[in-house]
Amino acid sequence: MAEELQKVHLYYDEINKVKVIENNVYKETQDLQENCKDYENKVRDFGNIIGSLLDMLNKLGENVEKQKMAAIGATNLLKSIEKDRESEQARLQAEISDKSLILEQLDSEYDALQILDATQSETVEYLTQLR
Amino acid sequence: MSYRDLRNFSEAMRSLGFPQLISLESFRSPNWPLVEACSRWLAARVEPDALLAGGADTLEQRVALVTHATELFHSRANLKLNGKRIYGADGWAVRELLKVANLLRSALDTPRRDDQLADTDMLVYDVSNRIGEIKQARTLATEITAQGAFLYDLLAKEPDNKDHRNKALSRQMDLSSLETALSRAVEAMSSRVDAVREQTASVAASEAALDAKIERRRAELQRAEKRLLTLQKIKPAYQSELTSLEMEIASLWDQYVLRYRCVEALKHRLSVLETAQAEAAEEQQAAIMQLIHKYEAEDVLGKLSDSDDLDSSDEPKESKQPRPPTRPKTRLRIKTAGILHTHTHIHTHTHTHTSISPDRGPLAPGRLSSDSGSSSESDLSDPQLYGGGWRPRPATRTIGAPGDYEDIVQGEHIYVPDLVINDVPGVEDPVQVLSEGSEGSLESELRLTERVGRNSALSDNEF
Amino acid sequence: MKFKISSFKEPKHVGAVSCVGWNNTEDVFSCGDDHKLLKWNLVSGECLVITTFPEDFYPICLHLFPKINLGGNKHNDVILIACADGKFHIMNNNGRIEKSVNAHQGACLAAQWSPDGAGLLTAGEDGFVKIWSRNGLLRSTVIQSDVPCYSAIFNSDSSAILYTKGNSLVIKHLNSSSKTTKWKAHEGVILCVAWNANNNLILSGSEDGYSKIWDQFGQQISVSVKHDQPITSVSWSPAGDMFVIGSYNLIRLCNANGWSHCLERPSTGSIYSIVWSSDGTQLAAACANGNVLFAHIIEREYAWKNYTCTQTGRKVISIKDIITDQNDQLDYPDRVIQIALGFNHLVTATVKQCFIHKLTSWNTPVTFDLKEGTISMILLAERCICVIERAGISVYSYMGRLLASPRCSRPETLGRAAVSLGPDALALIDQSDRKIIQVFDLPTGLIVRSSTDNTVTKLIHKMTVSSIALSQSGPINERQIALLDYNRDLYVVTVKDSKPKFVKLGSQILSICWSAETELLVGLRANSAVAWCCPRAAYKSDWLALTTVTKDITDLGRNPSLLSVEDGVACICRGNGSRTHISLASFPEKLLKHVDANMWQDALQLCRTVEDETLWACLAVLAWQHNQLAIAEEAFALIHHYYQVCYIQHLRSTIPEKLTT
Repeated sequence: MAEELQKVHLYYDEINKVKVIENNVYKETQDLQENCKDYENKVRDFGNIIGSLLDMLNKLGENVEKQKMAAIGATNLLKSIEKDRESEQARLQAEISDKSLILEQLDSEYDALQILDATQSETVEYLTQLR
Repeated sequence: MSYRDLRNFSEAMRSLGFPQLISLESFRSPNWPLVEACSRWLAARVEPDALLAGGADTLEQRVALVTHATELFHSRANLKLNGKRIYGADGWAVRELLKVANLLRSALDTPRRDDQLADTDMLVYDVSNRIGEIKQARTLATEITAQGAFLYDLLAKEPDNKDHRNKALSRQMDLSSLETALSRAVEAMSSRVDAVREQTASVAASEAALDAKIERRRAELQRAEKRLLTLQKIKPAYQSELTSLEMEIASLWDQYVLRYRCVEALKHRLSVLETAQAEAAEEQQAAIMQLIHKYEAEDVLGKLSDSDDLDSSDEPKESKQPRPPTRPKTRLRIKTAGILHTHTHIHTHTHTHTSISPDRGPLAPGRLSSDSGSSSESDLSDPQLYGGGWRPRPATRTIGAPGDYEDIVQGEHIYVPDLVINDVPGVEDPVQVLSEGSEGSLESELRLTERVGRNSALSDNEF
Repeated sequence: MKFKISSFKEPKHVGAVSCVGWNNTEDVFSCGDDHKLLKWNLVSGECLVITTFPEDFYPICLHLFPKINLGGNKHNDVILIACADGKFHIMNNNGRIEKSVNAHQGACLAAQWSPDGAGLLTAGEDGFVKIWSRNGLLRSTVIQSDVPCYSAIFNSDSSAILYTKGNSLVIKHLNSSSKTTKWKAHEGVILCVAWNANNNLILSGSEDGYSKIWDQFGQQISVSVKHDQPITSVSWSPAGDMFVIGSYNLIRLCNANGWSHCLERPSTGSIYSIVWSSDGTQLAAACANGNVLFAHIIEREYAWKNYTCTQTGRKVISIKDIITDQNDQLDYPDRVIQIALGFNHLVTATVKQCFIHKLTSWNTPVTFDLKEGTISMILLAERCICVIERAGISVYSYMGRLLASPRCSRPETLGRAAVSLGPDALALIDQSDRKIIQVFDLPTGLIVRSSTDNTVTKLIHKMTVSSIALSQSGPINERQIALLDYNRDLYVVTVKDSKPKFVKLGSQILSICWSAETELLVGLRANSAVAWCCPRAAYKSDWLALTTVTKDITDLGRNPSLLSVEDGVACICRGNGSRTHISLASFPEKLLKHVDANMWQDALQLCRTVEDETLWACLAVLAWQHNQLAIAEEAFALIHHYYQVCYIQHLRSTIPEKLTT
């Protein structure tokens, strides 16, 4: 009977429904459709989850990067503290030398003024003696 | 290569606190030492424990330094540097190193602690409540792969199927021809149904015939069984007598074996004694012979004192093979002589006693030598030698006073005729025993001849 | 004197700022690695982005077209920017690029308009120095070498170029092709140079951490202390009295003698460029961290007699009378640019106005408006004020009335030594020919004449004149001018002589100054001070010798200067910046005052009291010059010039009695 039907390309399945294509082809097609749908759903779900995880990890990565920079910065700061101290010392030294230079200037100015004072008082004395 | 890069690099290094001055003219021509110093220093800044491999002396060292530096910066600072350019140690190297320096500089400028406290909280919450998601993702991933494989298979078939479908869709559906085909199919089916129905009817008939046959065979079986039962109930006449006799023979056999072993042990002792005597005699004879030779030689020397050339030719030959060959030789000779002696002795002794002893006698020397001597000759005491009814490993240690030997010898004398007597009236089993015994004796005889032959072959080889 | 540094809180530039330039005294252009051209207004504190250049535009150097009057040809401020790709760009002040020229291989490291505005020069990493026309057409390649030229500049009259070559400095004269001066200046690469128009000194900064001052022949004038980091920028103030150097996190303000006024350490990174504003009171600095720093010079101190005044803020001056210990603060509406104290007046110039305070009542100043905001100098004399601006020189009375405005080309390049104000005359060294001294007569009294009919006397010396000084007292016909020439010889000439005669007073004089009230001239030698009591007696060398007072002074230092002479006390600024007062010729000055006041008996009394030979000599000469024969006779007798006594006696006997009285 099946051969008879096949001649006109008719097929029937286990519940005796008449089909125009072969049973296994039909079944495989059906399978394929369902599986594809399922697959698509799963892939979408997976993509969503992974996407959110990636987001989080990216954030984490950024944060880590930031922290790392901060850490490097901190270590560098620590290392440069000594240098800073040195430069601070140099700075203060320079300031001291500047100030001492000014002091020197003022000292000499003071000395000169004292000399001037002395000469003038001498003159005054001389003149008062004459009177 | 640009003034600007160099200027910015110099500035960056200055602000980072690089101890050396980087002149704007530093990299007009390749300046490896400064590049090395800078990269080492920067590496130490990026990773405090890092120590760059390599050095300045050879090409390999420089390459090692550059590769190590680029790796370090890549892994620690996420910076990709062009190692080739760094190796060039010119303005391009400056541009590469400037990247690192700028990174460190920006690190210096990053905000301080208080700003970051808010950020650190974020780190904590995230991972913990995402574990469920991660698991889900993992299961999904496995499912997806499995399904993917399945889909792959399906899709492999899909072109064919598609073809089929397309064909089916494109085919013209002629309803009338379909109807006829269907009706034809219905007809064919109904005819087949009819045929099957007929077949079932015929099957019922043959079933009845087979039932009758089975009934007949069953009756036959019952009859045969009844006959068997009756036959089993009849008891044979001499059964009890037979069993008692069997037991008696077994006890006798035990006795026999014991005695035989004693005799053998005594024989062995005797042979040992004899060999000792023979050796003593031979030694004595050898000493005598030596003396004789000595005297002869003295005579000859006295006579042939002027003919030196003969002696000189002889003496080296003797000195060349003086003792090592002679000693084993004598020993072997003694041993084989001993064996030969025992052999002859045993022959002489056993022939007087019993007919079995010649069979057994020649074995003794082999076994003795194996037991008393080294175990390397175990092949001689092969268990097959004692195959058949013989008990394995007859004791050689049971050496007692001469009186015991006499008893055992006497026992044997008594026993042997018994055995002969017993043998004669044996109905079934004694026959078997005898046959076994004869077989064993035959075998042992065969072995014996072999053994002797081999011994003789050995002795031939030796001499 | 120190800086007051102000910077905007947020750096407006993202990357390093490489160059700055003053548009006028309020506006600053800056350009940096973020390709932006910014304009900063200091008054309003605003910052505008003028334009953003393309991504590959990395400026190195910026220079604005000099502010000169080019025959009424009014053009936009033209900005010249040199770039790291070897190009230079000429753009207007809207930031529109009008011309781009590919000038050098590698970076173009320096670019400058010539001071006369006729062209520009660029120097590049390829070692070339090129001169271009104003429109960017190549005129000549002046220098070719294989060493990068980090800096190159014109001198003040565009006749020579100074450029760096490794650790050497080279001056190349453009007129004669062969003439070059080259000397090794530093141990490290020289990064920056500056050449002042006023004092003609060269300043160089190098990677070895030193900055040095040179004259134009390559002689080292002074050297700074060693800095830890390379000197990345140097700049002379326009007046040439101080300079500033920039290094990593460091700005130092120095006197022209090399000693440091003040040191600031802002955390700005290297300072790539420092530019003074044209009035010499502000400066802008381009910093490597993106900041643009602005600094004002404050705490400039002035003293005159018992008054001192200090600029305490941008707009505040505090003035103090030491004797009465009276303090006062003067607040001005605008930024104070110049201050002058003397002759019982305090004259202050702000951006827009000039304030004349009387020291007796300083709260009611006389004010007048200034032509332009870039005042470079205020000179005071007994009766008038001279204000030197870029627009021209103006002479005002203390009542704020314009008396005269003598013509002068490029007055902003005049240095303090090149101009001198007397009570009724103004003397200038001609900027085009430094052998010529122009003396303008100033109107006295109440008649105001127009500036054109000012009588100008031209005095021509045989040498280049470096410094001039007009005497401050006496009638206009006896106005004398003292001048120092290039050989450091001191000459005195009477201006109004029909045949001006240059009389040499001495040699190796470093600085000169007239007394403010008398004709006492004081000069400074390397380790002594000399007072010429009667400079007009110079035609007789024995009289000159007799009337000269010399006093040895130790450790004057390098390049000392005389600040003032009052009552015979000279105020000297030593090489290290300290001031010394030397009582040099107090009796002669008193004598001179008596003579000026025609009080001969008092003068005679003074001489008799003091009994000093020099004083008698002075009196003799002065009395002789003033025809006081009786006094002269006595004085000459006391200094043992008996032939002169005889001569006078002869004169007195022959001349009828009535003529002499």
